[in-house]
Amino acid sequence: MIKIEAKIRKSKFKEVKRTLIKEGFESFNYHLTRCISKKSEKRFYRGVEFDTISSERIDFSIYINDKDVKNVLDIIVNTGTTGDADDSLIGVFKLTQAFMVKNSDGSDKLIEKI
Amino acid sequence: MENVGIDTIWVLVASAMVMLMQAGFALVEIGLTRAKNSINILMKNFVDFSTGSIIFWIFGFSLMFGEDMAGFMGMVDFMSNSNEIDGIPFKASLIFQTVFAATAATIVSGAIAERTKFSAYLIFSVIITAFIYPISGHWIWGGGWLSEMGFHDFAGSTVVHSVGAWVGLAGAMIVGPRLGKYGANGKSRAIPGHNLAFGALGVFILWFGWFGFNAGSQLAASGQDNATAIAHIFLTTNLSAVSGAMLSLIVSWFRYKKPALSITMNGALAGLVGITAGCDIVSPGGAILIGMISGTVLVFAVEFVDKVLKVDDPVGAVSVHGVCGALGTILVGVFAIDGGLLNGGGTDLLLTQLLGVGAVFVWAFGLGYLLFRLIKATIGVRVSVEQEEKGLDITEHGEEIYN
Repeated sequence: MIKIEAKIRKSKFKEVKRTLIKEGFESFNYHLTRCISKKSEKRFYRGVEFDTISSERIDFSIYINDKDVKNVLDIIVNTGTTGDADDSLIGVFKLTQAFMVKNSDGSDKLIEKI
Repeated sequence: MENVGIDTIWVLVASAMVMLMQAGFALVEIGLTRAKNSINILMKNFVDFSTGSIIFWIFGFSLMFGEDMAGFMGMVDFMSNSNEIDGIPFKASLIFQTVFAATAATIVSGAIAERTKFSAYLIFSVIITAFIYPISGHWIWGGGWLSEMGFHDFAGSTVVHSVGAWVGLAGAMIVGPRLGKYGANGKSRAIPGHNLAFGALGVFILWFGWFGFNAGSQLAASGQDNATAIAHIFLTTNLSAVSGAMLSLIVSWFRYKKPALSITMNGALAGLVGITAGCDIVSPGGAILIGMISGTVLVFAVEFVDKVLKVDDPVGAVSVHGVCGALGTILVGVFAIDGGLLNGGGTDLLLTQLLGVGAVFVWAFGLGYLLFRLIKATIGVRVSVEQEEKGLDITEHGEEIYN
């Protein structure tokens, strides 16, 4: 099992989300976050120019089977890119164990396959 | 009798509209500042309206509009209660003037936001409504020396807005900038407001209230002449506001490469402040020019105050209400249909306007400076560094705006 984490531009996330769902990946998490970036952006506020040291990103994570890694990475890369630097950072993590918490029978069962 | 009824209702409706401007000021201020100081700002708005209303009823009104004493101030008459003033019941006039006085006080709040002690603000708020505002107001609206000279400030560009702003300027200078506002090299740093939607809503509420502020100052609505005057004032007020907004938008677009919302918001207010003095006696075309000039000057004034004077005014109160208030008052001498320089009236009115603007600056800034120095030397005007970092909401009021 694999966990993929990615920081995706806010403007591209809808496309990533739609494509993932369309391809059958219907369970994942995301939230708004701010990332410190090497590439700052110039802004003006009331006549004062300043550099943003951080920018908004969607912090996205998904648990998948090993065989789906390439597919998911392709979706993120192809739909999440704008061509600018700092488009995204993707991490792929090998999971040693994963548990599904089920309340119905009160037991935690080791899952082998998602 | 019918006329009195209509006139009274108009003045009372206008009073309620001006009172609503308190909400506008509150939203503009919290929108252009950080979330951690929102409750402090809202509390200051509640306090200056509440204390101001009581003080103005007890003696502020008579100090401003009472029997003239040497052109300087009105004769104090505690809790005065005559039957009629300007053709409407005294109480209608009192409530109308009260909401104006509270407006002057609340302008100061924005200039000194995010670092001023609440207790210091309380004292200051009482003094401005009790003495600073009514006395200079008497000079212009109460039969004092400037009104005798023909100084024209119909609804208070100078009487209300500049007075509040000049006191605010003195306060901001003495309180000092917010932590981190200026770098070690003295370079200004941006401290963006936390919610420009609040700010924009506040501007629209102020804009709405301004129709009451300006047209209400006609103090009558009955009869053809008054109806015509009110309609004219509505038109000039709106034209100047939109011109101010558009010009500040365009100028900011050129200067900052993008049209800036917070500056455009200030530009609309600049147009409103600018037209307030002459809304009754300039043409619609003149109103547009006043708005355009105010909106343009506003952009440079905000930068000048911030970068040259190095006075930290988070909401632009000094630029909007002070600079554009003075400018609008002076421009009456240029654009007035009757007596304006461009309409063949010569320079008499213009010079009188200049004199009045200068005199009110000296009065309001001078007393404001002394007052803040006095408060600083006694109870102190500024919160501690720790309080400022944590935010005034928690440290001064024990509450948070968002939970």
